[in-house]
Amino acid sequence: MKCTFPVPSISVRALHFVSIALLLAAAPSFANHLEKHFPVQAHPVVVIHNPSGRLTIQSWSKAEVQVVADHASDEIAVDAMQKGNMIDVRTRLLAQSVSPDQLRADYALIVPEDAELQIHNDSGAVQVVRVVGDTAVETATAPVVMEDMGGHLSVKTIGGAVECTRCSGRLEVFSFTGNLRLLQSHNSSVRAFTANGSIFFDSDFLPNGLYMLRTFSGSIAVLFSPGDSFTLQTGSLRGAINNEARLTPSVRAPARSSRFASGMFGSNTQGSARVEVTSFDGTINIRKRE
Amino acid sequence: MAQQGDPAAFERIYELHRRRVYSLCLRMVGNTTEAEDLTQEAFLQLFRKIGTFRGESAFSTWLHRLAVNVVLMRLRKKTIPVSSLDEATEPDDEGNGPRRDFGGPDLRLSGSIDRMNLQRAMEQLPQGYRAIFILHDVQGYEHNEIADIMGCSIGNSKSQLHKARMRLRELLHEAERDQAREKRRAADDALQN
Amino acid sequence: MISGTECACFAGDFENWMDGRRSAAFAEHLAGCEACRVALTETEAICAEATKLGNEPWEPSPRIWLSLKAQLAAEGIIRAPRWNWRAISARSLPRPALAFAYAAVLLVAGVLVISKANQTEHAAWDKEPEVASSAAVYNTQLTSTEDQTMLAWSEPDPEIAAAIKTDLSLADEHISLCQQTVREQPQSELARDYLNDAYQQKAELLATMVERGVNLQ
Repeated sequence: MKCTFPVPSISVRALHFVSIALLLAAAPSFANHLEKHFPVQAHPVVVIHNPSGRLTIQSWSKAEVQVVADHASDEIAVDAMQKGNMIDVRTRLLAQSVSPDQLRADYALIVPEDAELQIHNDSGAVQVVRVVGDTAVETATAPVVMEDMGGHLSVKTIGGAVECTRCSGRLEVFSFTGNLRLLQSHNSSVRAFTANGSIFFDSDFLPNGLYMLRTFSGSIAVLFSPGDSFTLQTGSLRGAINNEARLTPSVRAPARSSRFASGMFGSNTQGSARVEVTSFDGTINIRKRE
Repeated sequence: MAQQGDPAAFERIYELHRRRVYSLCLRMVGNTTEAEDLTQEAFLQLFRKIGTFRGESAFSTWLHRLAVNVVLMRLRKKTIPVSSLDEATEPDDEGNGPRRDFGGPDLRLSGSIDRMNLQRAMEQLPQGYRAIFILHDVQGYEHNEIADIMGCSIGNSKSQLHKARMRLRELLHEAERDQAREKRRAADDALQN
Repeated sequence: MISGTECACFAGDFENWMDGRRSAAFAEHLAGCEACRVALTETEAICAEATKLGNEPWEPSPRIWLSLKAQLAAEGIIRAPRWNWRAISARSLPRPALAFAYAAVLLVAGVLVISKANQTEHAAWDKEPEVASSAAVYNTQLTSTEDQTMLAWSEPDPEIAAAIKTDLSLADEHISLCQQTVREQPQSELARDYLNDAYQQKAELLATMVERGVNLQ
């Protein structure tokens, strides 16, 4: 829902001018610029390999992929090529060893909404918005932000934080130390694991959906509304479990697995969705939304 | 590879066959939304059963058999019953036979066949006739393939196709007569005014 | 005058004529029967128009495939794509020996997973020796692979190098904690799950290091 606030027009223009000036001042100066347009058919595949830098991807209604790349260093080159219905974008090293500062290349892509994305962006930042083809992201330390996405979403990162907002479809997230936040999403299936990061889940439970949230040491917070329909199985070997859901035994629920023998098990209302929350020694909070 | 669950293989199969399956479904039900649902259902059934495909028939034949079954099952759920291919679907088939089949001097179609009229006429065909007409004359299947798809004999496929074509001729003649009547009425109204 | 009954006698020939099988008798009949000629012409026109219908470029909406794929994946009919880290640097690819060691590590992990999956719901506490022996084998394999990897590993990005080193020590801590927990709670399937996860995390981390590019000396 859009909220609009009345602002005097002169000050808005001034604000825009100042914002642009600040952005220009803050952004690194890029000596090298690439812009390419590729006409594509339905469900194009877009593959990006970038060791370092900011990557933003959004969608449009055109049957075209636009690639804009900027980098300062002359030790790297950016290539964007089309092979059939696949667009391959990669940062190429021109020297045997390149320092991290010289590795940086920033990309801004616009793709058809049904594009399939394969993203490898080690450090920097990754933001993907409004793409409903399948998306797979791998980073080392780059945080990943996804908004209004659909399809099969797969994110794997060593230390990057992951945030998904208003996403639908299937979601799989794996991180060693990054925090995971799933907000206002509508996924039919979620598998999220972070060893030392935390998980914050404030999204819908769809009928017959499956939600598996797992950490080693990080805390897990799951928000629910009293009318949500889910069966909860939760367990923590050495951590605490704080539960505000009124769980009742349900004939619809699957047999309680022995791995949850020391945890909690039961259904909220009809128990339609299946929720499994586990932590080795992190705290698990199942909280009612206010 | 598809039988091993390879996503790329599934997508390839879908890409190769989606237009024909969708076209078949759309011709049968005449509604894009329903045709898309049926297309999805047909491929879903195909991919669920792909492990059982042993190559006894051509893969496309197998797929189209699934698609036709999906469509016919959906149509059976509606109020209009689906005609069996072995039944005489038109009560007049056996009675008026020859003269009706071969028409009379006042039933000649004028000019070329109008595509819209043909599509409307196809929609009025009984479902069994429609299926065979679409498979043979629209999509180009041979009678032995149609027999495999529809689960009938080759002879049955031929005779049903012939009846479908004859019925289409009648429907097109009726459509032309209706259009001629409308034109005359419009001309009379114009004269009176 | 040709009667309708006479035309009816040629019904079969009419069908055959449409299929390309032309009989002389029917050809002779056609020569004298306007009704049959008209019927034939009109039927041929219907078929010709029908063929054009078949060439219409109807496309189902892209959402069908997306929806279908999601359904197939949810039913486990198609496998989710497995991603490997890609070496982006200009350095050499992993040597076969190291890749074999990594594969051995994962093989042992697989054995552990399979043995865990085969356990009954109420595994007896005397399964502990089995876990302990699996752990010993796994530790040996992992340690050997880790030693080789660390000797050869060279990561140019200090931020990523630091992250990987931190995660390796965390993985070791996790393995140690999980082993202790399994000893304390031999009946706990959750504890075994976490031990298995801890081994797999370490193996995955080592694999990541290998695939990012290992410069063997």
